[in-house]
Order: sequence, then C-alpha cells, then structure tokens
Amino acid sequence: MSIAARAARIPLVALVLWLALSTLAPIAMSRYEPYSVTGGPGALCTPVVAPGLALPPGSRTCGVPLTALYRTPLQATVIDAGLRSGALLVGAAAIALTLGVVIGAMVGAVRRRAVASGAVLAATGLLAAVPSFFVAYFLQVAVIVFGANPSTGSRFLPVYGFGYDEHIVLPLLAVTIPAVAVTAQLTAARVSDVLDSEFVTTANAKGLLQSWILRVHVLPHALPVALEGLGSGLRISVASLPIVEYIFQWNGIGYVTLQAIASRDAAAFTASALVLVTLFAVLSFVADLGRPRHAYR
Amino acid sequence: MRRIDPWFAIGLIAFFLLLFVALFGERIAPYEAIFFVVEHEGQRRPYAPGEVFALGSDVLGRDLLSLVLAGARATLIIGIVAGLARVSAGLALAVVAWWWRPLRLLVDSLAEIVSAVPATLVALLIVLIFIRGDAQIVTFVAALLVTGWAGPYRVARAEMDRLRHGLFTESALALGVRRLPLFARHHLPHLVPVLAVTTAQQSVASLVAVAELGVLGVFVGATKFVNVREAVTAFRGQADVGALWISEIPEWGGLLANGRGIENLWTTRWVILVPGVAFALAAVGLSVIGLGVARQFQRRNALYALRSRPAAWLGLACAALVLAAAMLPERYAGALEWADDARKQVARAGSIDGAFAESGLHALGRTYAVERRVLSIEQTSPAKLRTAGVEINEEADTPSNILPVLYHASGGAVIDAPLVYAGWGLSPADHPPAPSRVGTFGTLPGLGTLVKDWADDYATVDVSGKIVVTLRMPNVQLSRTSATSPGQDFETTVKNAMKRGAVAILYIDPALPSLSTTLTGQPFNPYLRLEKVLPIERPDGVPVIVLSLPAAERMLRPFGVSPTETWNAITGVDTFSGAPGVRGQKLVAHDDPITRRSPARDLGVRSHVELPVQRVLATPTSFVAVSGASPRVLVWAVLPETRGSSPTTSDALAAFLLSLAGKQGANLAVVAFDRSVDTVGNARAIADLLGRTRWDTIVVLDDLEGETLRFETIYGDLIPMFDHYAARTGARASITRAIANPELWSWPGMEAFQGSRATVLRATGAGGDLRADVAALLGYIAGRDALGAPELRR
Repeated sequence: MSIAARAARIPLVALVLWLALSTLAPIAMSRYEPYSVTGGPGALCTPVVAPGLALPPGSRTCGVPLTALYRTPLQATVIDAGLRSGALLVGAAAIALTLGVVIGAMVGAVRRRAVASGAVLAATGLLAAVPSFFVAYFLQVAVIVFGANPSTGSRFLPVYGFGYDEHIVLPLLAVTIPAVAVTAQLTAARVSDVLDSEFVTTANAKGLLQSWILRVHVLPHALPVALEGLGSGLRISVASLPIVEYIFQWNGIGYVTLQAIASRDAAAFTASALVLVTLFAVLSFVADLGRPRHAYR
Repeated sequence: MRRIDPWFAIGLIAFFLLLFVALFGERIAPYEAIFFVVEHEGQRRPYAPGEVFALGSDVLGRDLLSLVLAGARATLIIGIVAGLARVSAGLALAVVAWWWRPLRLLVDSLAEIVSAVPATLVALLIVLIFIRGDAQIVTFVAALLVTGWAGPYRVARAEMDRLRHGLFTESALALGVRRLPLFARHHLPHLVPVLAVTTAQQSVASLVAVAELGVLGVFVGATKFVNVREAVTAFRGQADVGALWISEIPEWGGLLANGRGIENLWTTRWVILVPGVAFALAAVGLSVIGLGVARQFQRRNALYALRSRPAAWLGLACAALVLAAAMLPERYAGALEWADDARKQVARAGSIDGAFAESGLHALGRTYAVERRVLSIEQTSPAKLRTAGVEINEEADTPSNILPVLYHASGGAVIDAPLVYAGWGLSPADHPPAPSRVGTFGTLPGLGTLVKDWADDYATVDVSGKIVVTLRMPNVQLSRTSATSPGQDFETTVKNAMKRGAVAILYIDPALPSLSTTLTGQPFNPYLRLEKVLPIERPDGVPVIVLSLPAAERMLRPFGVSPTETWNAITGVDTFSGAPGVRGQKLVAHDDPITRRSPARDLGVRSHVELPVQRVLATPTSFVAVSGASPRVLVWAVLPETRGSSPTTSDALAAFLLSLAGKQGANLAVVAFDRSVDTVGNARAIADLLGRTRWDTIVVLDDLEGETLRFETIYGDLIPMFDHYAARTGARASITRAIANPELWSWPGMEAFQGSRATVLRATGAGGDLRADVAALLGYIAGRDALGAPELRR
C-alpha cells in the first residue's frame, strides 16, 4: 500500500468515527445520569440553592455543557486541549523511539550474557506491565515524599496542574514510560530472532565485525518491529491519556473527553473523541511509514 | 519437557500464586469484607497501616489486606477472561481473514477504526450504559472486548503473514494439506510464543483498564450506597465525604475508587497504594507467565508438551486446588447449622411464653415476663359532631375528614353548646407588634406588625361557653413580592379560643385530607406528631377537633357560612411552605381587603360535640431473656396483636428461641416487646432491666407480613453485614441499596436506646411466609456470635 493511500485512511477513519459517534453518543448518553468528574458516578451532585430559584426536585449541578463550564466556544476548548495533549504525545513518541530502540538492540545483542540481558528485559517487562496510572501515582508520591525540600517545604516539581514548564515533566514521564518499555521489548525479541537467522551465521562465519553485523544486517530487520512497538506503545499512551491527565489535572483532550462524558455533552464528546482519534491515526501513520522501506529490502 | 526455561519456572510459580490467591483469597483474609471498624481509640477513619490493621484500612474502616485478598478473584477473572477473549477474537478474525480475502479488507479497516478509539473511554461509556443488574462482570468483560480485539488481531495477522512465506507452508500446501490442519498443526505452534506474550499483555491491559475505571469512579457492583457520616469520627484528608458507593463483590477497582482524590496523596496514601500494589503485582505476575510460556515454547511444540506427563501433573494440581477451594467450608459454616435448626423449629412455633420457657435462656427477673401497670388516657369511642341534623362521625367520615387532636391542651367531653364561627380566630390584641426577625430569605416583620390592622374576630362575637369554629389562617406577606411570615398556628389559635372561654374548638384545616394518617408514611401528619410530642395529660378538657373543608362545609352551609369560599377567595399560594405532596399553604398580603372585615358570626344554633376520653389501666407485658454473660446483640421483636406487627414476628421469634435450647456460646439478649401502650416507658423499663442503653447491634423485627425481607438502617456499615447474612442463609431479602432516611427512620422503642445501632427488618410485597427466613436469619446471627464473628463483638 502506498504512503498516499495510508495517509488517506486518516480522514476516512475520522469520518467514519464522526458519523458513528455523532449518531450513537446522544442515544448512549441518555441511558445514564450525569455526574461530576471528581465525584464519579453515584456521588451526589450538590443541588443549586439560590433564593427565589425554584428547582424541580432532584436538580443537580452536574450535566453542565462544556461551553458553559469553560465559557469559550467548543472549538476553542477542543483545540486548546488537543494542543496540550499533543505536546505530551509528541514528546513521548520522540523519547520512546530513541530510547526504546537503543535498549532493545542492546538487550538483543547481549543476549548471550544471560544475566545482563535478563535484567534489562525484566526491567522493561516490569515497566511495560505497570499501569501508567500507577506510574503517575508513583511519580506524584515520590515527588511529595522524597522531592520535598525540608528547609523551605517546597517540592522540586509540581505534582499536578497545567503548564509548559516544570509542570510537564511528570505527565510526560507517565505517558512515555510504557511506550519506551513496549518498544524495547519488541525490538529485543526481533533482534534476538534475526541473530539466529542463517545470514547472520554466514556473516559471523565470514568474520565480520559484530558492530557491523548489528548495524547493517540486523537493525534494518528489527526497525519495522521497533516501529510496530512504538505504535502499540503509543496506543497504550493514548489509551492512558484520559487517566493520566485526570490524575495530573492536565486539562488536555483526555480530561475534556471525561468531562464531556460525565456531563453528557454529546457534541463536546464527539469533538474531543475525534481529536483523540485523529491524534492516534496520525501517530500510527508515522509509525507505519517505516515499514515498507525497511522490511525485506 | 526436558529442559525448563528459568522464566518458565518463574512463570509457573507466578501462575500458582495467582491461582491460589484467587481461589483461597477470601478464606486466608484475616477479616471479612463486612467487618467495619467505625471508631478506634479516637482515631479517625481511614486508619494508617499498623493502627488497627497491618496494611491499614480503607476509607470506611475495613481491612485493606482482607479486601485485596477477597477481591482478587473477581478482579483477576475480569482481567484474564477479557485478555483471553481479546486474543481469541483477534486470532479467530486473523485466521478467517487469512482464509477469505474479501473479509480481510473489511476486518483490517474495522481494526484500524476500532483501535483508533481510546479503550478506556469506550469501556467507560459501555459500562455506564449497560451496568445494570447481576451481569456486571460480563458487562465489564464485554466493554473491554469491544475495542480490545484490534491489537491481538494485528499481531496475529503480522505473524501469520510471516509464516505464510515460510518454506514449510509452501511445502505443506504443495502436499495438499487442507487449511484447518495446516493452521492447527503447522502454524499454531509457531504462534504460541507471540500469543502468550500478547495474551499476557492484553490481560494486563484489561487489569489496567479496570483500575483506570476504578480511579474514574466506575467499578463492578457499585450497588451499595453506604453513608459514613453517622460515625462520631470524621475523615482524614477528605472533609466532605459523607457517603460512598461500595462494591457488592469485593473488587480492586472499587478500592481505588474510594481512595482517589489529590488530597489523598498527602494524608492517606496507603488507601491507594495497597490496591495499587495489588494491581501492579498481578500485572507483573501475568506478564511473567506470558514471558515464560513464550520462552519455553519458542523452539518447542506447545501442542506436544500438552500431551506430556508433566503437563498432566500440572493440570491435576490445578484441578486439585480448584476442588480444594470448592470443598473448603465457608467462614462460620457452623452458624449455618444454627440457622437450619431455627428454620426447622418454625413448625413447632407456638406461644411466645412457651418458647421463652423452653429456650434455656435465663430470665433477668423472676420470670421472663416484664409487666408494667400503665394508666393511660385513651379515646374510648369515635368522635361525633351533630348540628341541626347534620352528623359528622369519625367512624363514617374517616380521619381524613375529622381528626380529634388529643394533646396536652385538649381533653375529652360530651357537650351541648351554641355554635359560633370565629373566622381565623385572630385578634390583633393577642399579637403585640414584634421585632423583625431574620429569615432564610431576608428580614421579616413579626406577625404582630403584619396583622395590627386586621379585623378582630373576637370583637363581634362572644365565644364564652360556646363551641368555636375557626379556619386555618393563611400565611401573611408584606407585599406581593416579599417573603412570607407564617400565620397564627394551630396551637396559638386553640389557646386564644380557650382563653376566651370556648368549650370546644373545631379547627378547619384545608390540608387535612392530603396529610397521611400514619406516622411512618409520607407526608408527615403534624397533628399526630403533636399528640406524640406533647401527649394528653387529663381526660377532661376542651375537645379539639380538626375538620376538612368538605366536612366543615356540610356542617356550616345551612347557616350561610362557607369556609370553602373564603379559602378559595385567597389567591396567593406559598410554594415554599408546600412540602411535596401537600397542597401549598395559602398566602395573603397584609393589607388585602379580605383582612379588614371579620367573617365571625354567632350561628344561633346549638351543636352537640362528643369526644369521650377516659383513663384506662393497661398492663403491657413484654418478655426479656439473655444468653451468656455479657450480651452484645439485642433481638428486639415487636409483639403481635398490636398495630404494625404480625404473627410472623412472634412465630419466627418462637422458632429461634426453641432452636437455642441446649446451644452454648451465643451472647445475646432477646426481647419480645409489647408496644400497645406507653411504648417509650416500656422500652425504658426494659433498657433499665438489661442495664444498657447503647448497643452495637440491635436486630428489630417489625411488621414482617410480606414476601420479601427488607433491611432498614441509618448505619451504613450494617448494610453489607445484613445483606451478607441474608445471602448466606438464603433468606428472601431485597438487596439494601442505601441507608434509610434518617428523618423518617424509626422503630418502636428506639427512644430508650439512644446511640444504639439498629437494623429494622420489615417486609414488602404480599402473600409470602417469611417465618422460616427470619428464624434462620436470627439463628445465623446467634451462631456467628457464638463462633466469634468480629463484627458482632465490637
């Protein structure tokens, strides 16, 4: 499939999902009660008490549309939030690709030294297995407990809130770690596989340098898998975006989507979910780009 | 299996650990999920690790370690079943797409679309929409499957693409091997390592999704709304937590849900940390299993290994574990025998006295019976009004039209006297101009100021020695838009009429038919409440009778007085004072022309009022018995033959008592309570006899005629407890979803047990026989107490 055809799939997917969401979301949202994001479903919403304002029994503050909540048009809210999440995702992709491939190649290359290889593999396995929301909580707790300056009482990093300064460090770490781990894992498995193939044995028999074999004969075979790994790693990142943003109160697109679900704002939900979908499609297109050029050259 | 990969060995260990925890977690947990510690040495909930429990408690005061162990099964089932379902669906689609090319494009595009939507959001929506009833685990698995199959599908398809180019595939095809054998014999063994890793990853991803949903407040079995504000202690960190949902099935997502919130990070970290670590450990365990299987069968055929002897041993070990878990008796299984014994005794249940005598419990006095001689003032026959041939009779007209009010100011009498209509019964002279008072909606002038220009109803008529009829006074407003001040109330109206020498007072309340006549039902009847709060003190006095508009109209119309017209002429309706279901109180401006002319008139006719009230001597007889040295559980059964109780209650109690004969160890007090007269005095006498007014567990048997039991309590931590008991004994009971309304919750005798934590058993529906169920429930409680269940021994 050509690159152009792959790129063309992005708007197609977005269109199909837009049609599906805009018809299904209002129906789906009529089936449950609105709730507040912080309270969770079932928690009581505080009723509006204002003198002279007679409310029907059971009125709640929940279910306020996002335009009323943010006091901006819907497009502005969604674009703002999308940019905030985009910063996290692009950073995560860059770090995962570099760090993941390096770790993966190292693990695969040193596999005959079982202890070192096993240790790194176990570490990446552990990181891939630990839920990113737990990473997020762990980072917060670590900063609160160990990062506090005893003399001033201040922490060296803020544990929640939005800002393109030191605020971004913890959310970015939480989003990046699973992506790095998955990329490294899959790359390591592939490198180890390729090292067993006959052409590598031949190259070894010819007495070529190990570094040369790794760079020229092995890595090109491993890179597609690395990109695949990046793809599925970022899939985890995107999937964990709502929860990570919720925990860090980083009001990106994931958080806005959660708010839209909680307040049963179908239009805002459709719009913000579409942004998430498009973000995802673009990143997986970028991941797919590598495949035809490197595989089976 | 000649050589075993070390990772595979570790994976096996992890597998058996997870299996063990899932199967036996509930049994090895130190406590049950129904055990709440509400207070501990002045400490506030939740308790830090080491204070009460080794790993601390959750927000509600339950042992976190026990909850994590008990919740392992449900959580792991969701994670693993969802992971397996995702991979099976993905593999099946990949295989089908490989066989049938047209489908491939379709499934590819579908996978592309589906995997582009964040799984958490879709799962969140699906769970929100479909989480109903009992199939909650199924809902969760389905929600996790809907988007989750795309990942495994891509992996399986990529791997099968690679295998298709393999030399052995071409050879097999050339030899004419059909598609299914080709896949099963040649491709599947190659797929095992990839599928193992993928399954582990997907199971972990499902667990993560469960945890994420938990953090977002969505979890399995979020059915019980448990109020925790009743405890004396407040909460650490969270000031505003009054009520929480807890999960019916103990489950880790629900533990995260109750511990979330930024504040928790500073003050109560362990509430998140303990279930979080459990999630992480389970995830690591699953990953290790996947990795181990992948490494072991990278170069070996997993299908051959399945037929080997070690595999058979492993299978046998798993089967033995499952069998052992199934055979293991549940906690306090001995209590079920107590329950069965009590159930069997229902056939023998006869009189309550006999049951007490046979029970083997010891009496606190000389006998089980506690008799009191009570002089009470009672209305002895229905009230009657007769005026010029029109008769209004309490029997014929029902209490919604005529309601005698027996309270401390009134009394009974049979009177023949002239009838006089006194309008509102208002005299501005009775109300000196009062200073303004600050109300909810602004400053209000006092009633005296508002009515100072009103007509004096008592100026034109002399009521001395006469029967006075008054109409309920509307609320008064300074102007059309300002706030309202309540009009002259019932008690003041009666007092002012009596002051002027009235011999009987007929008070017309247009809201009377809409007031319920029962105390427990909605809406509340203020006259019955008055009788309860300020009880009648003497049998002879001024009869006070409340009439509805239709009844008053029937009596007064022949004399040219129409209270209905007066009432309808007032246009304003006060919406704020109108409780739900009650017609709103009428509203009149203080300078309205209607207030300037008094409608009071002497009707020139004699009327007959009959309200016989006498002192009655009663001897309410309750039965009290205790078992054990220091009773901790109080069974409070309301005896039959009185209002609001039933033969079911006495039969169930009798059966329970008979089953206690010859049993040792239960520490409880049993009371068969006579509520016919002087409920509060009787209850106080019994409480004095028992020597305690504060009990941690009181089981109240109230009206039990019906087909389904219902537990009513305002103490949230008793809700899971009684639901658990009902489930264990198989009693027909509806699940308690929330605490009762604290303002309406009451039971006969509760005034004597201030601060006690009671659960009231009532029944709903009609036509059932709950005797055996109630008896079994009581037997089970006694049995648990005898076996040392901690929640009964606080």
